[in-house]
Order: sequence, then C-alpha cells, then structure tokens
Amino acid sequence: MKRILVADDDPASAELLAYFLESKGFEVGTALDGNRALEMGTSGNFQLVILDVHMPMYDGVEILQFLRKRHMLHPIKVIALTGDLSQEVHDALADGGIDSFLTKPVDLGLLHDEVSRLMVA
Amino acid sequence: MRRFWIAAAGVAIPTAFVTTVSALNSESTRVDVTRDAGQAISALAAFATCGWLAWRSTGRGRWAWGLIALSGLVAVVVELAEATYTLSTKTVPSLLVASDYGIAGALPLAIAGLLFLPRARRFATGRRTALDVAMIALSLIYIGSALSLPELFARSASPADAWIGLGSLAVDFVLLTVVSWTLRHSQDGLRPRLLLVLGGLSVIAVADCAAVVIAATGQLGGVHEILGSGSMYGFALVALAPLWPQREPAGADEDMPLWPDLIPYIGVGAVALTAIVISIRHQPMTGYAAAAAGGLGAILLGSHLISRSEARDLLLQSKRVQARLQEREAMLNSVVDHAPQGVASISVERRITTANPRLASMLYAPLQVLIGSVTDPFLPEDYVSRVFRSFAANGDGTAETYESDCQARRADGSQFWVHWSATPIRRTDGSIDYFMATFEDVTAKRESEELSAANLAQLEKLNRLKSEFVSMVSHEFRTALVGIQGFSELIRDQEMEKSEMKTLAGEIFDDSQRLSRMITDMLDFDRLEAGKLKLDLRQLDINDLVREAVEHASVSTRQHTFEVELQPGLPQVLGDQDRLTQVLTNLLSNAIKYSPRGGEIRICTRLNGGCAEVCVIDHGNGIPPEFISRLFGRYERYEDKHAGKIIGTGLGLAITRQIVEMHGGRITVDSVVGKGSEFRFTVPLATTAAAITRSA
Repeated sequence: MKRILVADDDPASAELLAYFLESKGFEVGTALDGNRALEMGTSGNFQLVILDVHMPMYDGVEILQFLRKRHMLHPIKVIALTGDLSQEVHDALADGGIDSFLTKPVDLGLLHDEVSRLMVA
Repeated sequence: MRRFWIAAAGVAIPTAFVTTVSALNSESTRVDVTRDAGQAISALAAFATCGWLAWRSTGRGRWAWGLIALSGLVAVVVELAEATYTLSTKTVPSLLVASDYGIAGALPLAIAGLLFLPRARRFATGRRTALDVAMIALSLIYIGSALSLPELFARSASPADAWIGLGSLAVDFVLLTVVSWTLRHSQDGLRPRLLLVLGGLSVIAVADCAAVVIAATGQLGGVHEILGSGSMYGFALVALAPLWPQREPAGADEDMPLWPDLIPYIGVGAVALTAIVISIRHQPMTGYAAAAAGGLGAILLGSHLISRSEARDLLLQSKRVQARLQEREAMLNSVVDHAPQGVASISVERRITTANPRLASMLYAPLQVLIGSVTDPFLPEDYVSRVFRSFAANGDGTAETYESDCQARRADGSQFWVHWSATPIRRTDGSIDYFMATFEDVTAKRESEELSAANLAQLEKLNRLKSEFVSMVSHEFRTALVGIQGFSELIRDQEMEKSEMKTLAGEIFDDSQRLSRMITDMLDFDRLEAGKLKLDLRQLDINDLVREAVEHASVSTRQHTFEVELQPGLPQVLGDQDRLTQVLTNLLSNAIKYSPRGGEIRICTRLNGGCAEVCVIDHGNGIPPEFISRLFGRYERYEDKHAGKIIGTGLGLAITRQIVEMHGGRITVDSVVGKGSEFRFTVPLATTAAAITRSA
C-alpha cells in the first residue's frame, strides 16, 4: 500500500488533498502543524510527504532538512507546496534536496502526475 | 685695510719732510724744487692708484677714476716742468703762472671725473638740485668777494696775472661746488673713498685760493710756502682713496639720512659767518659780494617756496591716500557689519576684541557686552583652547583655517548648533596676534537634516512592511484558492453523489467568503488611508449592535462561550452602523482566532464620561508587550510560531482603530501573554457629539 503524508496547517487544504489522493487509491495521513508532521514523517510509515512550506512550530524547510537527515538510506520523497514564490524559499528548498515543487493553488492533475512519477521511481 | 695704512704712512713721510723743509728755508730755489718734486710725487701716486682702480672698474666708475687719474698726470707734468725751469734758470717762476697754470688745467679733469661718479638717489627734484648748486656757488662767490679777491687782482703785477688768477679762482669755486654736490649725492658704500677724494680736491682748491690771495697781497713767507704745496697734500689724499677697502652697498632699502640735504646750507652758514667777520672788521662790502648776497637771498626764497609747495603736495597726496583708506575701511566695515555670518576677532586668551551685530543677535548678547568678554560662556572653553593650540606657534605662511560644527550657548542659556571657523592672524615674526572667527547658525539646517533622515527611515520601514504585506497577502489568497480550485476540480472530474458534491460546494463557498473578506479589508483600508471613507452617522443603540455581532460570531465557533454584560439604558451613540458592526466583528473574530483552545469571551458595555465604552475580553494567547505599540499599525500582524494558523491580512486592527477614531473615540488594549487580551473602545454619545459639533 502506498502511504502519503499531507502536512498543511490550513484544514481546508489538507482536507482537499486527502480527499483527492484517497480517491486515487492512496492511503493518506494528515498533519495540521509542523510538530505533528515531523512525528509522522519520521515514523517510517510514509513513502511520500506533501509539505506546506508555511506552518506553525516547524516550517517546511526545517521539516525537509530533518527528514533528509533521518532517512539517509531510504530517502522519503517530498513535494513542497507553497503560495510564496520568493526566490529565497525556492533556494532553501532546493538546497534541502526537495524532489518536486508545486505552487498553491495546486493543479490536482499536476499533483497526481508528480505523485505517480515519484512513487514509481 | 692694512694696505691703506701702510700706504698712508708711506705718503705721510715725504709729505712731512717737504713741509718741514719748506717751513724752515723759504726763498730758496732748492726748497722750491723740493716742493715741486713732493707735489709731483703725490700727483704721480694719485695717477697710479686711480688709474689702477679705473682699470678694475667698469662703466661710469671707470670714466670717473680714469679722469681723476688723468688730472694727477697733468699735475705731475706741470710740477716737473716747473722744477726743470727753476733748476735751469735758477729763479723761482712767477707764483701765479707756476702754481696755478697747471693746477687749473688738472682741476677741470678732476671735476669731470667727479661728475661721472655713481650717485645715490636722493629725494630731490631737478629744480631743487639746480637751486642747491646755485646756493653753493653763490656762497663761495660771496665769501671770495668778501675777501676782496677781485680788488687784490686789480693790484696784480700784470693784467695777464690778474686774469689767470681770476680764472684759477673760478675753477676752484666750480670744483668746491661740484665737491659739495657730489657729497650730497654720495652712496653709503662709496662714501669713505669719496670723502678722501673730495677732501683732497678741496684741500687743493682752498690752498690754491689762499695762495693766490697771499701772492696777490705780496705777503710771502712760511705760511705761504706751506699753502703753496697744497696740491701735494691734496693729491696725497686722492692717491689714498682707491686703497680704502670697498664695501658693498647695504641694499636697496637705504634709509633717508637728513645730513646730505644740509650740505648746501653749510655754504649759507659760511656766508653768515663771513658777513659777521666783515662787520666786526668794519670792512666795506664790494659790489660782487652784495650781488652774491642778493642772489643768495633770492635763491633761499625760491628754495623755501619750493619746500613749501613740495610739502603741500605731499600733504595733499597723503590726504588723498588717507581718504581712500578711510573709504576702503568704511566699505570693509559695512561688509562685516551686514554679513549674514557672525564675525569676531578673538585674542589668544579667548577674549572677543571685535564682533559684528549678526554675532550679537546670534548669541542674544548686546554688542557692548560681547566685546571684551571671553568666549567661555558661549563656546566650550577646553574645546576652543584646544583648537587655538592646534595652530603652530610659528606659521610657515600657508593659509590655515579650522572649521567645524559645535554646540554653542546663547546668553540666555539656550543651546544651538553653530558652524564656525577660526583663522590665526600672525605678526611679521610668525607669532599669532589674534584669531579671526566666523559663525553661522546651522540649527535649522541640522534639524531639517535630522527630520529628513527620520522621514527616510520611516519611509523605508513602511516600504519593507508593504512588501512583507504583499508577500503575506499573496500567500493567504493562494491558500484560500487551494480549496476553491481543488474542490471545483474534483466536482468536475470525478463521479460523486449529490450529497458529497454539496459538501464540497460548501467548502468552496466558505473559501470564497474568506477571499471576499480579505479583499473588502484591503479596499476598506485603502479608502481609510486615502481619507475617502465617509461615515453615515445616525443615532444608534450600541447594545443592539453588540448583541447582533455576538450572535453572528457565536455561529462560527462551537469551542467558545460568550458572556455578554450590557449596561441597561445606555444613551444612544452617534455612529455608522455598518462600520461599528465591522469593528465589533473584527474584535470578536480576533478573540476567537487568538484563543484557539476555546474558552469564555466576555463582552461588556458601559457609560464612560460622554462616551459608550465596549470591551471584548478573551482568555487566549495574549500579546507580548513589545508588540502592543505596533498592534494598530498598518500591515502589522502578530504571528506566534508556536500558535495555530491565523488567517487574515493583518489589516483588521488598523481598520478598527481608524473607524473608532473617525467616530471621535479611542481604542486601547491590555494584554498578558498566556492569559488573554482585553480590547476597549469608546464611541461618543449622541448628545456629546452634538455638543462638540455645536461648539466647533
């Protein structure tokens, strides 16, 4: 079973993504803040994380760095999702080793394509 | 110098021998020949030394000394001829022929030589020089006439003798005149040599005159013998002159000694003395003497007139110069007096010696008080003395000025900023006489600079906040759009039941409302900022508004309970119903948003002075004290990293404050982090507002 973690502090966004991915046959867990996202992301139960960059407690970049440290051998896939298109955030994510980068509001078809691509690889 | 004294001794010995021989044995041809030989030797010596000096000199000097040497040569030839004649005929030649014929030929050459000597510049015009020469000549003529020379010649042995004697006397007079004139125009460096030459020539001329007189009166004898050899002494002195060591002229700025101007008057003095002698001896005055005395008187008168006119010219000139100086000084003074800067001269001991009115008005001190007082009450003492000391005690002549801004004190104690400069004014030896200082009040300039710097900082901060705001707003808008775009995409692409579709449509509706609120906030704020928002003022019951707002708020949350405490019978307020509702809604939604764990939210109203006061109290996160001051500012939103998600533009409280203040009320906040916040705002009662409007 393919398991995906949706980490987004906006409940509406999280709900939407969960609904969509479940309808595509994935098993989805949601985390509404950075702390929870970190906890669930490091549990080893998920193959992919969809990460909102702006979150309380820990932001997306911090979570990404942490995940990369914990999963050296079996790297977890991470798709970043943000409404902030600034260059600094983009650079920070690229340095952290992001797998894919999508902007809000997200095109669900594009998201599905990216998820499928990363899950096969 | 030693060379001179050796030569002087060498000349003195034969001269003394000849003199002794002449005095002891008169009326002998041997003595006569000895005397001639002595004269020839000293004339030869003069020829040799002057010739040597002429050979070494250039220009006018060569001509002068050459002619003097030539005059010595002529004298040698004459004396030798006389001695030969005496020896061959064994008779002494006729005195007038013998002694004066040749000397008269030698003297014009000497006179020409003197005229070629380099002359010093003296303060004398051409007419004055002519008068001086005439004065000397006439004095000599008077003295000669007084001594009855013409009459003596009238009694001479032959007419030829008489003419020769007279001619000889005339040459002597011319010589003495030229000698005086030369002395008057002598240069300092040349004077010792000149005095020797002039002295020698004078001796020749005077002795010659005396000899002529004695010969004419027939009183021959010892004294006559000595006088007869006058040219020997004279040429001896002339011969020594070139041996006197040469001194270089002192330089261009010779002072102006008075004595050369007095020389012509020595002649006048001699005339006076002669006149006294004549009157004592009851001697009659000859026609020549009377004519000479009359001429002298006329010349003295002319000289006096010239002096007066010259003095008057000088006086007028100095008056003109003084007037020009005064005019210039007046102009400088008026420039200083009306200068836009304070100007003062300050002594080395920091005492103000002069100051202009501008400085006085700058320091609030009257000019009379300012002048004479030290600078210490106005400028810091150690600072000024440090500046003054920084100038070298002896300047190297380059311009040096200190310039800076400092704080100065006025007479009334108030402080102001002054831009001042100090320049040392030095004496000729380089030491500092006093300081010239200028002062400019730069307080206004500095203040405006500080103000514009503050404005710039404010603008920069606003700019930063605005760009943060744009970034934040775009994030919020995009987040709201996630739901709208995502759910509508699902409805379009997926098969689903109608109930499920309705749920998703509800989500879309909520998100659109959120977007709409944010857009409304931004537009409201923009209108408030631009002052375009007009209040629709009516009499309202604030309690009704509060009740409605709480009712709406309570629908949106199930976690919070609302405690409403309204003061009954609160008078009506004057306000815009929609805007006051917006204020209440904002405060309530903030209370809900910032107390994510739920809890009680208390709302109360009460009468406070002429206003109705509304309070909204939550038990939420609270606001840190450092943020409270910025709470009602533009684009400011308190974001706690460890708190839950807060959605909004950050404009809510800025809009709230603007609306409250437009109503004439105030909004305040008390908050404790972790315990909650209490917002209070007031709205004027209708009666109060009316009173204010009337009084205004």
